[in-house]
Amino acid sequence: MSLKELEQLEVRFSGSGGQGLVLASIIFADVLVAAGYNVIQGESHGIEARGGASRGEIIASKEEITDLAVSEPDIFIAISQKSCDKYYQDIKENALVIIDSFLVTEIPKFKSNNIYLLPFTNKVKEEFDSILPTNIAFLGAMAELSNLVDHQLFIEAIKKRIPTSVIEMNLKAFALGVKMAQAAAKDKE
Amino acid sequence: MKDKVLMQGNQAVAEGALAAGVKFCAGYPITPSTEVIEILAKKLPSHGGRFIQMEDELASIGAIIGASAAGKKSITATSGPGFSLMQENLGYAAMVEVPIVIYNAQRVGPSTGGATKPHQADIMQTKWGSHGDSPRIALMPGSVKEAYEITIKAFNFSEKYMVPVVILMDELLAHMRESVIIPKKEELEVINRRTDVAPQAEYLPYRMDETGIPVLPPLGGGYRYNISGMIHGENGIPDLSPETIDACVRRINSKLDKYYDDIVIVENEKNESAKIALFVFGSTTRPAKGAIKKAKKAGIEVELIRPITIWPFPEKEVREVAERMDKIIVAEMNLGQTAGLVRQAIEGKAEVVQLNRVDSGHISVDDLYHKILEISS
Amino acid sequence: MSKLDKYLRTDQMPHFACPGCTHGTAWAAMIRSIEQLGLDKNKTVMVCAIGCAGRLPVYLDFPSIRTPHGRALSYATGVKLANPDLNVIVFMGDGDASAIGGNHLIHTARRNLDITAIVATNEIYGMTGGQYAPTTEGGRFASTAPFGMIENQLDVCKLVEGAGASFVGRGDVYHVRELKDLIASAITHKGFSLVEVFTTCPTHFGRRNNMKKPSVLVEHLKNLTVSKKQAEKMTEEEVAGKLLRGILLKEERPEYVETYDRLAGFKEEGESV
Repeated sequence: MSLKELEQLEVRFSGSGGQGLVLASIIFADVLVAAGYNVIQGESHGIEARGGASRGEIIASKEEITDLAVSEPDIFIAISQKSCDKYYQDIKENALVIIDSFLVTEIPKFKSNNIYLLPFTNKVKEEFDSILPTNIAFLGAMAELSNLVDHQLFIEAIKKRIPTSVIEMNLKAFALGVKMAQAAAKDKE
Repeated sequence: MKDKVLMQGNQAVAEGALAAGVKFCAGYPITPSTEVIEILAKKLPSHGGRFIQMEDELASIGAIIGASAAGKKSITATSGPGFSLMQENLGYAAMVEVPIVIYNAQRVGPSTGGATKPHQADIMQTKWGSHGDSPRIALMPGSVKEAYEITIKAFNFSEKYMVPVVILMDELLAHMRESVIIPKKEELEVINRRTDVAPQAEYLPYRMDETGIPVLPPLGGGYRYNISGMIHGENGIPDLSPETIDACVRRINSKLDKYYDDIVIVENEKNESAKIALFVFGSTTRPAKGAIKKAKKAGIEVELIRPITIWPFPEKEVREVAERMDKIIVAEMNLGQTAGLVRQAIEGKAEVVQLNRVDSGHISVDDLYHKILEISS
Repeated sequence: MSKLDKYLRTDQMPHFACPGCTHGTAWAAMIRSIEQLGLDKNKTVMVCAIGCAGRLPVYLDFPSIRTPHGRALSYATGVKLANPDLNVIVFMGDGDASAIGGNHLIHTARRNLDITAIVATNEIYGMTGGQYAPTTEGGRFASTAPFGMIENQLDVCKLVEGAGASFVGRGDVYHVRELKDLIASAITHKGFSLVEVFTTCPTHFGRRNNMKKPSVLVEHLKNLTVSKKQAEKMTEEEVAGKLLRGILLKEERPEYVETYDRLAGFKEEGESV
């Protein structure tokens, strides 16, 4: 079943504080709002401002939303080992799973087979000499692999939330993520 | 602008305040309410208003009472520990009938508790935290969208009834983002306090007309009168005669009785086949609707009663529901603060079943659904 | 006093102060300074709190607000920010200003908001019956200092100077003309101004400290200070142990609201951008 047909879409971004996953979840929430969904977005942090396992979650639906928290993610993104271990268990059986394979080296036994292992942090560092836009790169991969919303809406949302001085780099990171996802999808075929 | 936008709960309160015409905010940083003062600090000057960060919460609420006495709509934002410090001046505002709005994003308590986690345990404090019998209105939005509308409502009630209004949210709603449609300016009802008063020579600040609500022109706006937290008569001057004490205490509290029907807002869809009602508020609104849907699928009818106005407590509405029900589930993120109020209101007309979560987790669809199943079997 | 009647709520007389109390002298000096400056009483807001000194606005025909104990300066901050055109005068007792309201005093001084604080220092809590204050001199007796005051005495002027006030003055109720001029200078000063006024409480301070007779207490007060001008002509030994009277500090510094409005681009609603 494609994600588009779901009555309610549940998304979880997980990582360490400071990796930008909450911002990524806000941008994706913006995208879904622009696409006409009702959306709620929430976040939870470890007590540390940097480094603890934290997550950003989204519920989107064309109907009224009656939940407050994600219970079975349809999309699961993990960009740290700690957060992956902590939050992977309750995903849906056919959930889309995107993992930063540079930082998550021990892959847990997922319920889903729809898994993409992509070395975002490494690739972004090579390309931009900075790991800062990693969050936007995995957003690009997610845009491509979820096939839910037009990429242009992502680009608009990124422009709205990212400081002007670094927009260009982030748009390139988004394109990089898309490319990485396309290559990985091809490999799968 | 009528586009759907993604908005955080705290942002909705700040934007709602601006839409209501707020002109002054004084605050002290505290999680999880801080975004409100950050947004107002940035936006007030371009909206004809000023912001100041005070040295503590005592000063923050003091400053907003001062600014409101000088005629400007004023707000402060806080959470439990700060709200505790504000109780002294909250009672004062109620006593002198200077309108203010206080936003309290409830967090885990008691004491420092937990700054980034939700509770709904300041309900009793809101009403009874300061000494003496004094009136206040408290409103609990159930979503981010409602937070925007209810903030405007809070200012309206405050200005109309010359009474402090507390917006009681919880951390969950404060930090949650939600897609909302912001109403157009012309769709909003914005009420400003009365200023139509007799000439100075005949003017007495606390002489009532038939409304029972004082008209207090801005301090420094041409009228000379005294605002005092001491028991005062019509002229605002302290007077400790038993008659004045009696009249003063009774009248300031009578406003809430007199205008109960306007002030009390409750969401309640009657369900004639239901024998179970679900009493929830704040962030539990969404899961409650989910649980009711789920129960319906399992063949159990449940009616929702959700107070948006929690003070004055909607006794009449709760009693009416109780008369038709066998059981009322009261679900709250505290140890039973409103369950007691419900019991008191319904006088044994239905059984009250408590569902209390204080582990900082939200009350989920499943929590509610299982409780429904448990009591219906 | 008839000349000053227009500033009073004469229907509230007689006032409540004890015989021999000199708070009234301080109030009168303040009213005379207001008259001297020709302030519009409709635009002059009195903010006071609790205690003997805080009861002032009851007797004054100004727009007035009496706040909870210690909070006057925070309310005054709100009044001034709501309407910077107003003259805002805060009259407090020493306990009100420096104990329960001490934090507000520090921070209002620090901000340099254009309000005038007058602190009547009589070293005692009079309304509650004679307890010691932060300003009580070491060794003095009070109902809560039955063995003598142990704590260090607070110098209110030094405190606010340290906190960043741009005007600090000290006067007393013996030198009343000086006091009137001092308060007038404080009111006209742009920025936070504080005037500490030494007053006397024969009922609760004098009685416990062998100065029951009001005139004896005023005499004692007279000898506590020396004017800044006089001090310049005196030797170090002569000045030793005395506090200075007069304008102790006056500096032109950016005022809070002016700076705020400029930096924040404040515009009254309806003003074109």
